[in-house]
Amino acid sequence: MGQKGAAAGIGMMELAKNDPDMRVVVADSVAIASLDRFYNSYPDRVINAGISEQSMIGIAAGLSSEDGRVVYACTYAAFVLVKAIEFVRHNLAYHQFNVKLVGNSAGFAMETLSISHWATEDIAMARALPNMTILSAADSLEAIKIVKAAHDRKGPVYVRLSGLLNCPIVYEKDFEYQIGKANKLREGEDVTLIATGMMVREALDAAELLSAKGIHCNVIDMHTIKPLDTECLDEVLAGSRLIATVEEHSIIGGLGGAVAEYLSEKENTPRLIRIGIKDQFGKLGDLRYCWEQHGLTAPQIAEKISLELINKYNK
Amino acid sequence: MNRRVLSEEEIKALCKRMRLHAMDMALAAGNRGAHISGSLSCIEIYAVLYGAILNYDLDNPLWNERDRFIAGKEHARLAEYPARAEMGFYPTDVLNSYEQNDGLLVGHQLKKELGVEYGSMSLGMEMSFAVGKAIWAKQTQQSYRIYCLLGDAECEEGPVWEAFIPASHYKLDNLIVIIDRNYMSVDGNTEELMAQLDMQKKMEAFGWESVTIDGHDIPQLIRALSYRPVGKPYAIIATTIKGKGVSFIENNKSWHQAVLSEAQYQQAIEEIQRS
Repeated sequence: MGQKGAAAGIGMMELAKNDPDMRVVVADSVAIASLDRFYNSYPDRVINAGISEQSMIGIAAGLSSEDGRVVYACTYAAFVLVKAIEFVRHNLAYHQFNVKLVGNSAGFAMETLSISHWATEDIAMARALPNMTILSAADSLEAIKIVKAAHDRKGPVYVRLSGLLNCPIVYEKDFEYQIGKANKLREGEDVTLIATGMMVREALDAAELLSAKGIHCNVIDMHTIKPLDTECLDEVLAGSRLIATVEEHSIIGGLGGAVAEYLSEKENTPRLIRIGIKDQFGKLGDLRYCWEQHGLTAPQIAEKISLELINKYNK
Repeated sequence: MNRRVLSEEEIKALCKRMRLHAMDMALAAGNRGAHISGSLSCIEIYAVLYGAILNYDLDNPLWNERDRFIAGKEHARLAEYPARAEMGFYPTDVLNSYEQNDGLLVGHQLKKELGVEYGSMSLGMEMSFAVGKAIWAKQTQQSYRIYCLLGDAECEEGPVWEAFIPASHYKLDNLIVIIDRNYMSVDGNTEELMAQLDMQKKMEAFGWESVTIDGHDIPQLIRALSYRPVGKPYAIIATTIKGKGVSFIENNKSWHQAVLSEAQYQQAIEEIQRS
């Protein structure tokens, strides 16, 4: 279910205190979305659509359609968005009903339940939809902040939560979270790693490994994938020899796609490499095994960056 | 409150005018063609809804107490739009804008001020939306009702049934569904292509109260649509004829979406006027 999913439940408990109109729609997913405490505290504010994600999105839209109240729709990322994509496109992107999708266990987090339960192209789908805001949490603390920030963001939001129960910490201390404003977590003059979700921790660890080799990295937590923080990008483009995006998502259409699209219209930009899920379905297994197949662990990321620099710049 | 309630005779006359508008709209669509036959099957349903059943105020289209009508089988705009025009939501001379670039009525846009409470032309999208609205209305103690029109073949879409289940689970007796049972989809007869069988029994098995009526019979429609169930949502299976009112269109699958020639238009108009 993911620790970040549990964090989302905490965030929603806090919101419910101040917003009695807020509703949560689930698809037999109270437990999946860590909403047990929420449901026990506010049973009337949780509407179960049954295991029917398309209906869940339609009901959420209908609930929000009269007074614009905030409605969260929560279940696995593979189903809240991917399975219900037409309902999301029409009700959220087009009609802009005030619905916030919370997708748990994105990426490979569903592990051996495998392809059907992995959400590995969801960002690409959501990005192609007008009016969508896409937020992706690096750790549990950020997940709470994102779920809360989504409440005050007018219109549709897709909150992408990845990771397992033992989700590693990225933010040791409290920080101010702002949608659309990326967080620079580490500074270095050679390479910029732009990461999102669980890959922020891996990117930080990779940067540590690279620093031992004398390669110094910026590490950016690009928690808002749409709208992209272009101000932050402009800054790092000016000061890096190599840019790498790192995501637990297809290299097509996700964070890497978004950054590539932005760079392609700028002049004299550094080279970009996209580290992410290759355009193929890999072997089935647990989270780390899946990451390894696509070069998403910290040592693999460090190795890749190091080779790129040696090949291109003889460093 | 600005709303006329029509007598049965007036509704009959309204149906005739709506069919004439439908032919005008089909002609105006030109070579793009129009969804003619599926509109003609639900003329009486729309006429009774807007002429006698739905509560609304033309002077205040966003009046909170208005009944909410959510259109399914939204391709039937040749019935839906003339009903509202005739009752005064907008002038009848804007009807032909439904096929014009950026026209007032093009596509199926969500325009509450014109009586369009939801906009979609994709089958199976609207039922869950109506359920969401009905839950909201229950939770906030609204007295109005939510009506939804579906096509019988539209019920081949899974999400329709996904939404029927919570409707009865949440005891949404403020929700009324009318199923236009014209026994036809694009490719022909539903019972040959994808049998819908006894839809009343299906609805009852899903925990709904249900009735089957003649969907062209105005008194039967008024009676069914005036009924107020307790503790259950209500489904009216309205048996109809696809293409009703124009001999060469009735039960002819070629007219689901088709181009109406000038000569055919003249014949249709004559038949409708004679009726």
